Amino acid sequence: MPQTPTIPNADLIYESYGPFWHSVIGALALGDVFHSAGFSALLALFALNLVLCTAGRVPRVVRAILRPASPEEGTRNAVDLTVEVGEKTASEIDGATRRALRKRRLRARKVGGWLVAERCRWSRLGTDLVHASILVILVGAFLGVYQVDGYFAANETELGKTIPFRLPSAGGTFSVRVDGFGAELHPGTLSAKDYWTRLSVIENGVLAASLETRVNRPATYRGISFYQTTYGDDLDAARVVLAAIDRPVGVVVGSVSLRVGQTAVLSATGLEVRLVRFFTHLRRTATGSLINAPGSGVPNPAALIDVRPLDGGAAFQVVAFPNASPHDDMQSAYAFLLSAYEVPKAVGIRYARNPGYPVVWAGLVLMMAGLTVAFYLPARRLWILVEPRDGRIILLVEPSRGAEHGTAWAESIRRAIEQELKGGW
Amino acid sequence: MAHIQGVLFSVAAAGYSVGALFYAFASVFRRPRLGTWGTVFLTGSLALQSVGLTLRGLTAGALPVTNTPETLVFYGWVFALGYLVVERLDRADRESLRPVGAFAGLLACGALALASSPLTGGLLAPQPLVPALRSHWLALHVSLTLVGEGFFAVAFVSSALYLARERSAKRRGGDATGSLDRLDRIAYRAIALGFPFFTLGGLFFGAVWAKHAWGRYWGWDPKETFSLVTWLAYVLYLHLRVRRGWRARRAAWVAVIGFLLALFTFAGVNYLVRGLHSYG
Repeated sequence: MPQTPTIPNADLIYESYGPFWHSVIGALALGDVFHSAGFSALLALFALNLVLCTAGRVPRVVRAILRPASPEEGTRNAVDLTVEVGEKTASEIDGATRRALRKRRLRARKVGGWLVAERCRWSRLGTDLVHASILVILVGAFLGVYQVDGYFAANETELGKTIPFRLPSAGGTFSVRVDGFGAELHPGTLSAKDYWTRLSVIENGVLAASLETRVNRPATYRGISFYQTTYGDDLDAARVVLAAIDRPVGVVVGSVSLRVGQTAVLSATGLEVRLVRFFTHLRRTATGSLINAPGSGVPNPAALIDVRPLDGGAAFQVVAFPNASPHDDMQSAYAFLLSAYEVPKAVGIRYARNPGYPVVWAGLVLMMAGLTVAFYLPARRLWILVEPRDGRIILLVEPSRGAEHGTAWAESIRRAIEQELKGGW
Repeated sequence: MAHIQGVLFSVAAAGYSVGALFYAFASVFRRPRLGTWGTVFLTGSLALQSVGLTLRGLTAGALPVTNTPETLVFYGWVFALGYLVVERLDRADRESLRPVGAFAGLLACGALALASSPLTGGLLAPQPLVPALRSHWLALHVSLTLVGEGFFAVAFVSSALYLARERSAKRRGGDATGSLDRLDRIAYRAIALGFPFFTLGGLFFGAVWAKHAWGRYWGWDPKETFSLVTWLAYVLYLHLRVRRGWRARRAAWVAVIGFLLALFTFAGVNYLVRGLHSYG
């Protein structure tokens, strides 16, 4: 379903479904799900779930890191290996095992009758770091309710326009003036390379700063960043010149210059015309229907006009193109031509200051640290019972994430112990 | 220059398909030497494609991921790269990976073929970059996301093969436990490798770039939303596997669904809804 943040006129689409469905969609907030109370409640529930899960897990994991339970007390998912030791004594085996572990830079400690060798033992907390990072991100997102966020636009006829700002926490006020904007083209092409806008910051009546914002390079003043968001034709500020042609004789009998929304009387025709909308890319299909496809193909300007006979006759709508078309509306004795038009360029600037940003970034860094630790530095623990049984010693691998991990690592240690024992023979 | 790139990509596509054939024969006839040839062809094709991508990047002045055909070429590259990395890490069990290699080679070849087909408009000469894409975050965001998806593709192929083999073993009444376990482990390994890349590229760098370009780190744009859904699918896979001990068929299904979501996020979203991630 179209969502308001992505499709600004989503509400208009829902209105077209009729009053019942429009009210249902509105009541369930289906047109802006992600900002609805229901979604926020789900996020809160998720946060609570994470808090409880982490609070239950962390002490258990820390305990398992500091005071691991020996295999007799129950080691989960252990994979066991054996080393043939022949007639070696326990102390010889102990010495050889410790030497093998030392060579692999593993420190061994005694727990019960077992030797324990570990690698990256603290990485068992990687998962909890990731969980904590999600909580931090949610806190950052929550701080977004204190953000300053908005949008302003200006077209070429509005240069010098000022926008007032009030900073909620600092209590200061200043205004921003749009001094100019434009587009840079890739050399030798008509393709835009960059868009820029120059802004002046006025504080207490004096120029406090001159800023330039570009796409991907926002300008910042007193913590508020200004983003070059849109650049293009301001169709709502378009001015057109319409010519009325007497159909039977094919002569222009009058013309009028109009802005969008303006009304004027063409006295020679007895008609009042109002410019409803201007299009840059309106096309007629072979069947005569109209398709508006802005930004695609060769421009094909057109003006949609309301026509009202001054003698009280029925009003009608006409689309005027630069050239007369066989599909022109024949409801009037006059045809309308779009004889000239002017569309000013406009720029859109988004501004934002969000106290949650640093918190969100910190959360993301924490998440990456947690994922790196959890997936690339997995914890390994090897239990070695150095007391020989039936001419063999037992190695138990206790992986951090399921039985499939650490087998190759343990196998390499098994071989190293074997080598050390052979060396002593 | 465009001609040279075209030749490199065509030769790489042919190399991938030959490599896939070698892997398939190695797997069917149990001839390890044929598998080695498969790796040789895949590695050689990857090298050629890397040269082609570098040349294109130098011509365009940006990482060549700025339109659908370019991104498909990159996608093919990460499929092959993902497979070869997993094969290298799991070299002790290389023989089990051969069928996965056959499909990875086919996917890489298919992505290259699709990139140059009329369906996507073909791989034309690099076009000037639109202002929104002129950022160093483009390379980091897109490349790392796709590298993550390359590993997910390996997991997808392993999981799909798992499901197919299990079905066939059931039907024929044979015992395929060993090979099934290996496929299951390969899928997990590939997801564990790809997940941090996907998180870093797709979510972290995407958020940083969105903040720079649009003034907010998250806006529920359709592409963002489906990236999150894909990420959550793999979070689910990891949680179910590590915490709940899901293995085998159930885990394979989650991996398959996860990659289908990744594919939809990559290709499907743009065709269904126009959002901030639609360029041109």
